[in-house]
Amino acid sequence: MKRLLVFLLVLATVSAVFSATKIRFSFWGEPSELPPYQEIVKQFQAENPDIQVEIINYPWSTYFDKIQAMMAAEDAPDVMFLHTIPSWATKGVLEDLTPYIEKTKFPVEAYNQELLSTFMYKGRIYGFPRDNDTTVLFYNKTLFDEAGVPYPDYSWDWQKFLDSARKLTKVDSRGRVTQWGVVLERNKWHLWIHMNGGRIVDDYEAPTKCTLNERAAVEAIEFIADMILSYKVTPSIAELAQLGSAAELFTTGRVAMVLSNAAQISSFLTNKNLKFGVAPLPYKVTRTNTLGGAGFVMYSKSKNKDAAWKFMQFLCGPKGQSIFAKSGDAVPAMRTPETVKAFVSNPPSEQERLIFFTETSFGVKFPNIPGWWEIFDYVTRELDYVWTGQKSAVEVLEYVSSEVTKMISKFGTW
Amino acid sequence: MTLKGKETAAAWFFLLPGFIGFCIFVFGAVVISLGLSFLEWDMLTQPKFVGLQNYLRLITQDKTFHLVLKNTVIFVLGTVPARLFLGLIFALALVRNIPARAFFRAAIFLPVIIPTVAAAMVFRWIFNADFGLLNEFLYNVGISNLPRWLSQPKWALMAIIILSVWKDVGFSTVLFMAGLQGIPSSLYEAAWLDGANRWKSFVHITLPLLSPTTFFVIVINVISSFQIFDQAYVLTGGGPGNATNTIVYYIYNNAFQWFRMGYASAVAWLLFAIIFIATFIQFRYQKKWVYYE
Repeated sequence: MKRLLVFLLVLATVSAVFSATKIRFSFWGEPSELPPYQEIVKQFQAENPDIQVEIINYPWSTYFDKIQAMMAAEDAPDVMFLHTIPSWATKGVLEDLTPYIEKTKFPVEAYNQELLSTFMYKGRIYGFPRDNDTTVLFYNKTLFDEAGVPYPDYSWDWQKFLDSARKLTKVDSRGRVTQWGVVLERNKWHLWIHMNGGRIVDDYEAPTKCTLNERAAVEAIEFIADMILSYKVTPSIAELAQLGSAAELFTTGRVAMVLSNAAQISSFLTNKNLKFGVAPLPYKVTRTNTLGGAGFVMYSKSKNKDAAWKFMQFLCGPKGQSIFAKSGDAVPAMRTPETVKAFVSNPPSEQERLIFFTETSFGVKFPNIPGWWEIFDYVTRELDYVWTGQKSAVEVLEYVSSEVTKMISKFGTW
Repeated sequence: MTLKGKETAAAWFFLLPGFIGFCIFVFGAVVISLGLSFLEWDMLTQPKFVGLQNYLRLITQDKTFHLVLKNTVIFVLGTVPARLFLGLIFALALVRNIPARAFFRAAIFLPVIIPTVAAAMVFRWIFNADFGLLNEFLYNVGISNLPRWLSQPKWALMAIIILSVWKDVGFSTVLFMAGLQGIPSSLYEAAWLDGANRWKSFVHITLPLLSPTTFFVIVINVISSFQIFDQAYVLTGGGPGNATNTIVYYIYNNAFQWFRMGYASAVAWLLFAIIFIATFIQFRYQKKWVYYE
């Protein structure tokens, strides 16, 4: 009898170990971005020994082919990191999280509601943003001091920005630039249009036509083109890839200013001699920023939805958000005293870190339409002809506008 | 079982792994892609049958496709003759007993075995408009209006052509060398006795007897040039604008960036048709100039 009891006990222990629910969790990112994810999984498993989380990590360049192929085979990870949530939701691959939120009283109200709305489709919530892709102006203090240019602040409009960039640009005897005033990333053109009070489409929630051919948008694109071609304060966007990434140029002190996001700070910190500061973006007609970012969703065909939701509560709740914020790479999408504190207690300084939150409040969402990213890619590509001086801004934007208007009607509405 | 039967069975047995692999991963995929080209499918939702619509849109409406087709044709016309002439010249030099022959042979063939990605990374620096090796050279020989290789649409495709010729000329060279070594020296001796000079024996002996090799070099170079992808992918990302976007790059973007599997398959089959026709024409006209012993 006693033996039988021991045997049963052993059997029960063994089966408990084997019966641990396994869920798979996928995200993209470089090895340097792994630590917060690993930390979250570690802490979650310590709290929930009955759930095992398997990490699946691919680089950005191959992530979506792999995930889409897994979805086609109906075997995608239970919890995934994705962007452009509505476009996935329409295809029925995402679980509607609204009932889970209600049932477990998940603190969804702590999220930046504008940002959260980009994770909604037909009034239902399909995921939670990891962070906001807030853009700020990073500047190299040493290069500013050398050129005797005052540091950027809230008083900077386009004119001040351009004048300073010109003073910070150095040229050698053959006219080749050896130090750039500023570096612009290829996919940030929308910021300048919004700064100038322009719009990409007529209505961001229900667009009918593209408005890139209107005066404000054209002026903004001309301003960027002038910085590249006339004033030569910024490397040609088409040549940026040869020079290295914008972050690399800034880290190595070859450029005085860069418009980029918090994720780049860790690479800036790899150069111990780099003294950099954080400043708000310059303005023209208005202040603006990016509102948007990637986040976490649940697979609609997951076999362990309860375990997946349990993990998501941790990952997307105050604890997970604080871990991401603590890494300093991500402006937390959930704003609680803990997450804010975790984010600001990172280099360069608390005061400068707070600028990220102020800037986030100026954020403007991208148009909420199917096929938006394809439209964005298309415009980005066509603008190369302006950046390289092959065609004028007016010429390209007239043409692009009529094409995008056609694309909007072709892709239809949600 | 007879010995012959046994041997046949053994042959099948040894062929089987390769044959199965071919059927599933090559032939099967080819057949499926033909079927896909009549569908609209994003891998997630139900595929929709659209008949010939993908093909019609490609041929009549898709301006990007017309542009990538034009770019690809320019690339083919730029690389094939260059690889042919340079390959022949290098081969003629390297079959002779020139000094440091082994070194030059290695130098010319080495690029063929360098991974394209690595080569393209190096060429990104060589083509750098301000500090690149190529422009430094051009500046020193007195050219003041230096091309901005990778950022000016008219030069970017040229840059890719230069990289591709450098990368693959060694392969043509090796083929030509093999062809040259197969020409019996007795023919040259006879011609020499008859008073033919070097140029005459080149035109009347070397070229005709080399023509099967020349034909082969043209055919495989045309086929491979139409499939240009990786050089553009690494060097320019298809840009600036669509200046270096090519057909295979367009297939890749449609299939794996925009997930339009049906449309991508249609492009792939059109590319197949183009290559097939180009090769068919070459085989038709080879009778006029290719001389088989």
